[in-house]
Amino acid sequence: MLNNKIALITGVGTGIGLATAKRYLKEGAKVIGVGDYNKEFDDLGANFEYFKCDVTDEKNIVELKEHISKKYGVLDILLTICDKEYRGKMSEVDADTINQASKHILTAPILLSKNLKDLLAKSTLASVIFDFPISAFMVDKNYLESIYNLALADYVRQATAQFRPIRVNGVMFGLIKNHFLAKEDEERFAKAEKKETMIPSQRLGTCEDVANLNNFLADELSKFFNSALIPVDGGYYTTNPRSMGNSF
Amino acid sequence: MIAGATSGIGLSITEMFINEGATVIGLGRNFENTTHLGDHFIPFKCDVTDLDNLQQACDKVKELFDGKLDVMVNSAGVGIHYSPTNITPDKFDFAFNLLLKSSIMMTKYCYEYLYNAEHKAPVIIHISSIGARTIVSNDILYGMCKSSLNLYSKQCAGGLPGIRVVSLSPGPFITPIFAKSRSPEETKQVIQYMGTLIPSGRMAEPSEIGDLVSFLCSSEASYINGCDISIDGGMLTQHS
Repeated sequence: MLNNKIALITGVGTGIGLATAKRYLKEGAKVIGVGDYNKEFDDLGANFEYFKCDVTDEKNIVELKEHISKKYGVLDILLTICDKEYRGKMSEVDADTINQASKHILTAPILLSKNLKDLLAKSTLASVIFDFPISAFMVDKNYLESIYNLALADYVRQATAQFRPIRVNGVMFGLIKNHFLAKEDEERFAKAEKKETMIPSQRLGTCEDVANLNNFLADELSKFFNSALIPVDGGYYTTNPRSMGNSF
Repeated sequence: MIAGATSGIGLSITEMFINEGATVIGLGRNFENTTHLGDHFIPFKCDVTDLDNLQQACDKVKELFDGKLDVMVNSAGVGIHYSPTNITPDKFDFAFNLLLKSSIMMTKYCYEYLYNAEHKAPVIIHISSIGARTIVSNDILYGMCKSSLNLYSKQCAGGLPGIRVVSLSPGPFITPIFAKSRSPEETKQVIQYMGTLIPSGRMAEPSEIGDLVSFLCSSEASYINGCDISIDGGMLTQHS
């Protein structure tokens, strides 16, 4: 249970972020949501608060921090997920796309954790969780996202060292039915005769599958988890011989 | 069914299952520490390196539960410390029989029962170690067996569709193995020292792995498959 814990979730307007917000609320937490507006927010009840914030702009983040500090005085859970996608071939990339990917995938979690560290330190058992696709470990797959997501994976261990005793973990999601899921992967799975040869769990994942793990990592039950990168992918990347993700 | 159910991590996992209302067939050699577990604990004396004995234990599922099994955990093992210079064929066989072959054969003896699982969501958990991911020259057999076990676990995820297979790699837990070779005073000192090496600032209590196994065997974790999950307070990524 997350009774009265204060959680900040970025990317809250899309699949996994929204599913996680719902789950945290169900577990008794108060949730501050940042990201694109979604009309479902209206039904989330009094323990949910939407805060408009550009998470790539440090001034905005400082305002967010001041708001949380004033209203709650503490932050127990910081969960980030990038709600933008950066696809396309290397031959078509331009500097602006590179900058945007860097900002949204990497700058945002780094600046958020930097600025919110003191509020997290006031929690009895703070938990920082970075969600990112485990396709980051696959060559030729959304290469630009992968570059920055791999850097984020490394940031998990770097942050663990510097944020002691705040625990920092990563959730690596596989082929989940959300905005990250590429059409060709969805079609390939639909056409696969033996589903288990592609995904051992024989199904695509759901946003709730990821929210379940996000909940476990926010909960005291996982208090010895630190600096861990945990896959939730039905075995797709973790058993794939072509994926560096198979070392998890 | 839990092998190595009578002490340390295996006992904690057994206690968790009993507390959560499960019935456990516990494999072990000495049941002094399991008398508090009540009627839902079924002890079966078994040396997991004796394959006839192991098969008899697994066949208890047929006899007692109509061949239906929801969860299989192998936590049997001991620390095995040999360097490249003092290894012998007997030590090699002992390590691989205990730490690897027992898991492979237990899976073979149990998989049909797992496919019969009442709740249709069977899980196999192999207890590995962060030793699988580190290179310790004086622990060659232990590390080799555990990294092979991680690989085997992944192979099973694809090879046994419908059964979730996960390996767990615990870091420093305060278990009897840990205290066995030290005086109480030394144990205390080492526990304190280890705390300084671990980002979480402490070693873990065995019950904490029970919480993890509880999560992994529940429907909450139904999409976690074919992976190795380390629970080490962050030690491995920071150890210098």
